[in-house]
Order: sequence, then structure tokens, then C-alpha cells
Amino acid sequence: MPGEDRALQTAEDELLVARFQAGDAEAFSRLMAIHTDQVFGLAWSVLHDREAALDATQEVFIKLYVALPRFGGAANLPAWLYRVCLNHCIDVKRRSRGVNAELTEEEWERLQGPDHEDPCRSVQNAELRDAIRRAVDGLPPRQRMAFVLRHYQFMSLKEVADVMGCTVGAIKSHLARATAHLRDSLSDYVDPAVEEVDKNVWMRQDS
Amino acid sequence: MFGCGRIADLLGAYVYGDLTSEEMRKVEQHTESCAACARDLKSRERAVALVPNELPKLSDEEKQRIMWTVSGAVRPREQREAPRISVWSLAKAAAVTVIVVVAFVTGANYGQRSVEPKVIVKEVPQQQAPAQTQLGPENTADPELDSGPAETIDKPVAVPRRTIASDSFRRDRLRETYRRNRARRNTVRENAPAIDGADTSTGQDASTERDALLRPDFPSSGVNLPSLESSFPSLGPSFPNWKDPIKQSSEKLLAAPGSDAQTPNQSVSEQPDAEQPEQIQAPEKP
Repeated sequence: MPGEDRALQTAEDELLVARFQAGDAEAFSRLMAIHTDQVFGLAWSVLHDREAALDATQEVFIKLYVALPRFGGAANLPAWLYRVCLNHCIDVKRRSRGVNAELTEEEWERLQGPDHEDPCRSVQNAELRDAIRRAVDGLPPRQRMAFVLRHYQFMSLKEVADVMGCTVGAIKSHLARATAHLRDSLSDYVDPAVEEVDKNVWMRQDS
Repeated sequence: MFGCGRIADLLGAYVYGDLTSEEMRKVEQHTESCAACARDLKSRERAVALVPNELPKLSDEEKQRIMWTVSGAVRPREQREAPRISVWSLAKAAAVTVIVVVAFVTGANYGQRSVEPKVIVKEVPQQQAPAQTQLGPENTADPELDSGPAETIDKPVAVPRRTIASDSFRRDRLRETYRRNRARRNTVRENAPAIDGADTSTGQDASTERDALLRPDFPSSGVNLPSLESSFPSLGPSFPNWKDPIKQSSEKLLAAPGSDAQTPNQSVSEQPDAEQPEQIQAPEKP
């Protein structure tokens, strides 16, 4: 989000939070309308499960509702939402690790919504698709957080650092390690010695 | 001259174009001469390019469903249906947890009470208690994000569909959380003087005043839990037909002069049930 949009959004958030604290319940609905998409996007990018992401989004806003009367930092509402969402999603993943650690292709299909909105569907090569999924799922928690926030949410390093509560330098390290992990997991497909690794793969990316 | 190790630490951010121009120059200089790092960078770029970054869109239906579920979960207690949980002890534990949680929210809604702070946003200079939230371990001011067990808001009704947790798991969590909240309340009371953002002194004076007014009237009882009726009106002041029973009756009792912002506190604390949080504080005062 460019700087101006962000400033406007912050002003609107502050206004809505103030109104809610003064007793206006509509303000909360408006806050939900503004931020639900991004929170859902973040939850999905961690969980890769549409239903679980919907549940997570609900939990995040319920927590917001309870915390809002005492909320002092309206200027950072998105950061607060992201932080709570990440906390919750990482925890859900940790709890469920024993349950669905290895998903077959059919199970994965079933978990997606009725429109099968798996973004990896654009990748035609099934093996590659699996490899990508496993590579991203295999990222350790902190690296996954940094990666998800930068790669899917397009947040600046400063914003990611705000959400995760560490320095920009630490985020750079997280990204370095995350990309190293991806490079190693996808080593079959990213070998730089091969000039045209698999031209079909790259071309199909655009579909 | 940068070594390969230090360069490697910058390569991730380089791929995303997030380095300062100084750092970018260093990386480019190094990779010109170091073939290994050049290869490393290329593989990382390809790996990142392989991961699609489109997110699924939320349909209007789903968005509506989320908003309805959230508003249903936070409706006032009187309007809720009977709990639909088959295990009675789970329902009891859940209800108790919700009461405890909402009691503090109610206290917080009255604004100036010395209730332990809720989830703290880092930027606000509030008094921090050692245990920062009683809503469970989502310590959002805590830089360690990947720690802590599950959330504690488990509602007895309108429960969003759980895909992961089992009943016994949740029951254990609730018990654990209830115990932890009790312990936290006792430690936090003494450390949480102020309620309003920056105005600590007013908070202190007000609570001293209140205590001076109230201490002789306190029934001494070890029970920490506030009672159901008075402390559980709702989670929000603007629901239709919501009458604040405590505020109404206590405003009659306390026609205190000069009670502007302090009135709600003094009013609330007149009620024996809502005084329960106060009791915990009272013994700690000298």
C-alpha cells in the first residue's frame, strides 16, 4: 500500500476505534469490512486450508472485539491484527501437525474451497506443485512468518519487522534463510547450471 | 570486503528488492567476482519465482458469514441460546472462563478501574503487568511470537466450526486457562494502577479515593469470581435494549459531587458483586 493510502487508512482506523470505544457498535462492523480480506489472506497463506483460514479469521476478530475497548494503538491496527492472526495460525498448525502432516493430492483438493482456489494450480507439473507446497510448508515458524508477510502480503521490511516485533536486520536474515530453504527444497527445479531448466515449467507459470 | 557468509545473509532481501542501495552495491560487487554466490543468488531467485503469490479471494458470502459469526459470538448473554455442548463439565468450565473474561471486559468498559490490562499494543505506554493478558497467551506485545498454547476465548455457543482441536483437548485448555487466569489476577492487581492511556496519577488517586470510601463496606470473602448477574451485562455498550443495571442503580446511590469521569467507577464499586475485583486490591494497599 503506498504511503498516502496507508495514512488515510490509519486515520480511518483511528476514527472507527474511537467511535467504537465511545459506544458505536457499527464502527466494529466497518472495521471488519475493511480488514477481513487481508486477515483471511494471511491466515490462508499460513494454513493453506480455506475452512481453517475462515475459522482463524473469526477468532482474530473476536479477539479484536474483546480487546478494542482498551485499545490504545489504533495507528497500528493492521499490525495488531496480523500479529494475532499469525500467532493463532502458527499455533493451529502446530496442533494439527500430527493430524494432517502428509496430505495426498486428493485430500489437498478436498481441503480447498468449492472453486478449488489453490494458487499452485497454475503450476501444471504435479510434482513441482507438490514440491512447492512442501517447500513452503516446511519453513520454520519465524521464517515462514517473514516469508508469508513479504511474499504474499507485499509488506515492506519495516512493516514486517513491526508485526513480528524484531529489527529489519533480523527480517533480512529470516528472508535469507527462508529463500535458502526454498532453494534447497526445490533444488531439482532451480539448478542455475541448467540454462533453460524446463522451459515448459516457466511458461506455464503464466497461465 | 564482504565475505560469502555476510553476503548470503543479504541475498534473501536482495531477491525481493528490499536492500538499501549500499547493500545492493555490495552484493553486486561480490557476485561479480564470486561464482558460488552468483549461483546461489540465481537459484534463490528462481525458487522464489516458482512460488505463486496469489491468494484466494474471500467471497461475499464467506465474508458475511464471518461477520455474522463474530457478532453472534459476542452478543449479550441474555440473548444467547442454551449451550449446545454435551459434556456438562466442559460447559461449566467454558461458562466460567467466559464469565471471568467478560468480568474484566466489563470492568475495563467502565473505563477507569484498576483492572489488569488487556492485550497490550506495544506503542502505548501503559503499565505492564508481568502477565500481560488474561485472554490467554496471545501476548501481542511479546516479541516471541511463536510461543504459547491456545487461545482462551471459548464460547459455549455459536462456536465456529473447529477443524483441528478435539473436545478433550479444549477441555484441558480451558481448565488450564482458568487456573492461570486466577493466578494472574492475583499477581497483576498490585501492578496495575492506571487505566487511561497516560494518566497514571489520576488513576491512583481515584482508586485510593474509592478504597477510602469502600473499604469499611467490603464483605470479606475469598471468592474471586464476580457473580453472574451484575458483572455480565454484555461486551458492548451499544446493543439495543441494553440497560446497564449497575450504572443505573448506582448513579442513584452515589449522587457524588464532582464525580465526572470517576462516577462510573464509584458507582460500579458500590455494588458488592462488582466489587469483587476491588477486594483483591484492597489487601495490598498499605
